[in-house]
Amino acid sequence: MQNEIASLNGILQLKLRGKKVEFSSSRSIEKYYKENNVTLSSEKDYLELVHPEDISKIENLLTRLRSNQVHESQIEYRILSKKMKTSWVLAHLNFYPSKKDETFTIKANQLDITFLKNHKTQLQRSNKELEQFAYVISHDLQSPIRQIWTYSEIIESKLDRETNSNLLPYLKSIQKTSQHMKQLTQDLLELCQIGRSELNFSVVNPQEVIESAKNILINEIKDSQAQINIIAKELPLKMTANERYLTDIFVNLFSNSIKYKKENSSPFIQIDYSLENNLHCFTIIDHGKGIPVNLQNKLFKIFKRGNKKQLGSVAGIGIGLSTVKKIIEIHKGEITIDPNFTDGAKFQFYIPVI
Amino acid sequence: MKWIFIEDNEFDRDILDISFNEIKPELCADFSYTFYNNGTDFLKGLSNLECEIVISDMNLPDMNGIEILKKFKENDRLKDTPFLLFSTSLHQEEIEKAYALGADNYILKPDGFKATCETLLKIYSNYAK
Repeated sequence: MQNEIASLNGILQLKLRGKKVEFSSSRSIEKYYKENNVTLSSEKDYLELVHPEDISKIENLLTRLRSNQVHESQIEYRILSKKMKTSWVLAHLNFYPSKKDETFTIKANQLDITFLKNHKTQLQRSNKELEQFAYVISHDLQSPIRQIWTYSEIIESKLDRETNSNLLPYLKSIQKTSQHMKQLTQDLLELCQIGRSELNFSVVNPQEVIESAKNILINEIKDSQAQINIIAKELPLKMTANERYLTDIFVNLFSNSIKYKKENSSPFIQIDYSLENNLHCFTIIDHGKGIPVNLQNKLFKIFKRGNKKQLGSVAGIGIGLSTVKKIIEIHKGEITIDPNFTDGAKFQFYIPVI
Repeated sequence: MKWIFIEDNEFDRDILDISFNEIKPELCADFSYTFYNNGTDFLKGLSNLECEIVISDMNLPDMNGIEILKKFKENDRLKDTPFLLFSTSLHQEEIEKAYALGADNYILKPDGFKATCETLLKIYSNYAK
């Protein structure tokens, strides 16, 4: 036992009988405290090394455990060494009433998670950098792509059709490709812009939001003769959301439904709404081609797109649904696709009422 | 007839050149246009300026199109000369500001060669005569 290594990993225990409190802890933790000039023999001693900002958090949890409000819980907090080195620990607490007498036991399994916390910080930082990179790339590519497209258009108009007609298909390919590239970078830019600046939440009218989404897609709707109907008996008159982003959700979902319509029929989209458990639930059914079950779990990932055989050669869905997902996530909601629905695609998204 | 463009982007100027060359047969014989690189240079020469239309980009290195428009309209001799704005995005707020300050039109910058030719011809047919 004397060779026990000082560490923050171990067990802490509080035995409570009436007002009497018995504290015990693993030797490893005792040793850690000793090395920091604290003799660990009570709950109060233990809190001495806890970061001052985290003490009330622990005390609140202990109160709730003692008063029988919860029986099991997890808590993360910081412990400071004498050299002011910060360690993060995760404690899993259980509350056991004794079957024999009036004794209660609170047992905490404590784990030093400092290295995990550090990794997490690093990952968050590199994620941020990646996002920034994607933003800059998608932003800076806009202009060169526009130039390629424009100059190829100019070449096309100057081309001597008699002698160089064989070159025309190549030019058309350049134009088609640069248009596709333009769409991709614009979508990516839009995705990167979400959450870059502070979000303004305001009270919006969902009916009006849906109307303005339809307005944005007015040409696509006209060309495809799409029908978009609200089938819910009533929509809420007010909900709290970021108006532009909420509109984007509908724009993206509608435009996908229009792109992936059934052959030889015009798109038919239905919107349903219900209020459940304090959540705004929207359902969008499109009666289109639908999404194969094996692709459904990949659907919301960036750049995932149905293969050509399954969905036909339509571009640009890849980023659209990632955008939708990200928007819903910043509204603390969730989007799902119904795998059992066979008459097209059925998306449902929930946004908490605030 | 003389037009003035305030445009700093080399590519956009190139496209305007090529487009004007393309639509030349449809323009009057005395048609000409000049470029200014920025707002300062343009405003400096205001007192001697002779032109029928001014078309300014929204984003210039020294100031934006709205600021140029405002200063332009303060000139009594030129205040009735049509002033148009070219922008890559339609910001409702900016559009309203532009019209309030007396802009003749706020136009989404045409995308591509054909679209540029069409836009220029449209402007021409609106203001020629």
